[in-house]
Amino acid sequence: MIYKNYGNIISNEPIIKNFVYLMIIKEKNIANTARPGQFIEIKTGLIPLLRKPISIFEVDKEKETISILYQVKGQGTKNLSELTANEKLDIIGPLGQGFTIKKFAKKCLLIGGGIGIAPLYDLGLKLKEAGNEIEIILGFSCKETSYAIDYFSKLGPVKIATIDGSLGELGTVEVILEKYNFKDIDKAYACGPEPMLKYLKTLEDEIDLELSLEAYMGCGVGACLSCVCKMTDGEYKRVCKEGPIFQVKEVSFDE
Amino acid sequence: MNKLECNLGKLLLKNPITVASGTFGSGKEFKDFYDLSLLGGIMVKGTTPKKRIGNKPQRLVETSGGIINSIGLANGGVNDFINNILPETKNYGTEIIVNISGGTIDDYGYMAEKLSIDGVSALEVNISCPNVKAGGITFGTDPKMAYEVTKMVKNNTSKPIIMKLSPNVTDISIMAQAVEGGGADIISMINTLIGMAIDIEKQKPIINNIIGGYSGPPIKPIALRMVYEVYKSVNIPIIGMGGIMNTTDALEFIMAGATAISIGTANFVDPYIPLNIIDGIEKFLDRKCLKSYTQIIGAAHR
Repeated sequence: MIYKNYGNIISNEPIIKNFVYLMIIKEKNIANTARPGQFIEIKTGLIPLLRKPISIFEVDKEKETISILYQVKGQGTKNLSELTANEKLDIIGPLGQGFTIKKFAKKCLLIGGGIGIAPLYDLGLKLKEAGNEIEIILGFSCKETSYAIDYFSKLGPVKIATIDGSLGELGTVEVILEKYNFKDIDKAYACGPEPMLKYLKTLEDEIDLELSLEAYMGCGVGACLSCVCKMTDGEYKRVCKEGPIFQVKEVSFDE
Repeated sequence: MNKLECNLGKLLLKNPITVASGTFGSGKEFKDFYDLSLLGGIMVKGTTPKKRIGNKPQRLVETSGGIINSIGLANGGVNDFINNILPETKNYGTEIIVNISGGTIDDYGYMAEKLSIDGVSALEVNISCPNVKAGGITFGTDPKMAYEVTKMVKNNTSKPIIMKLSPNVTDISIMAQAVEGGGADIISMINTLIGMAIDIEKQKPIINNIIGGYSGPPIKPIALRMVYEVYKSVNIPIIGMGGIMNTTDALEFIMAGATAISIGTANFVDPYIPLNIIDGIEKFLDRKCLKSYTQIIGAAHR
């Protein structure tokens, strides 16, 4: 079931001012039904006209809240960053399919790049609840623009890579993955920028991996066919409807 | 009598509010939001003789308050529509208007014949898709071709036929008269305006197809002007569309001469806009003590 409701903003705090924010929204129906990996579409103002698709960062069923971790990129997310507690927010969701959650024999690995870490946190919580051990690899551009590591540390050991080497290893998550021992891992999940996803595609025979994809969306409900991505069989699938979660073996990043 | 009963000649709608092709899927995608039988009609996503996977992404972008799309008529083909989509749309309790496109005039005849079946209330003939290379737009810009396509569809179906006009022409009235001459029962207008947007960082067009169809609030004044002009030049009813976001916009189109209206881009912004407009028009009629909305069709001409 998809809901269109007005949520009440509980808080909207910068983690890094003008860059990354964490917003907590009270919205009962979405909090009660959302699964990790799903997203919501938010009307952020008169302009932009279209809603902004944003991943759910955490769900608290008891408090009937969801939270979003978002990066200010364009007008829509700028508008969002200017909202304050007690304001109403026009939301549609939960949308899309979620990640696979079950008890795996071995460990689970979460791989996040930049703001792509957002859908992985709630996933990690739910995987842990299901009895899984979790390892995490996060990539950022530098120490100053890294965030939410404290959240992920609650789930399991976190390895970090930064492009300038100011925190953790020098480089992208690739440098960690290149020497990673996958024999203890049953399942991996990833979300991040396209170069990272393309690299992960090269590991498809080594690890069972689910990707959360991003795409420019029109409607968010599967009607407009804008947010498609290419599959290995040559067909297009809708990121908003069949996705945003896909098996790495399904997707094709070839031009 | 129902104040909103809408008579489009051979096609009767319970109210004049429809949803535009390509913005509402087959209706299934919006079923969670409301009972689709509340709508006057659904123009389903365009169908073609054969399956089309559509254009390479990026297919859509918001720019200057509207959106540009270049989906490329992605659809499963007419047989897929008949076998897999129509059985479900039949149960929606609203008029199902099937939007058809072809690459040749014969394609249109083939589609019209195939879709002359139960569950299809009318055919909307797309002669103005800006996003496909063959046919499409040329049928919509050359009056002789538009006439031929109309005649071909007319000769292959007894369903009401709606010709969807392109705004990308010098004089839309000439196109309207051409399709009327070819036997069109209804005109729907306008399709999208051809536009583009450029990514200044990459210094490249944002839409992979370079150009696409522009829609949304910025095109409303243009669409309204065209409906006003066409109303004067033909005797068949008009389904007006182009950037309608609210009741005022919808009433403007009706007063310009539209017998019905269609909601497109607005469905992406707020799926409840069509219902809000139905409600808003009823309230307007009450406020003006009018017995039927038909009393205000073309009012701006009087």
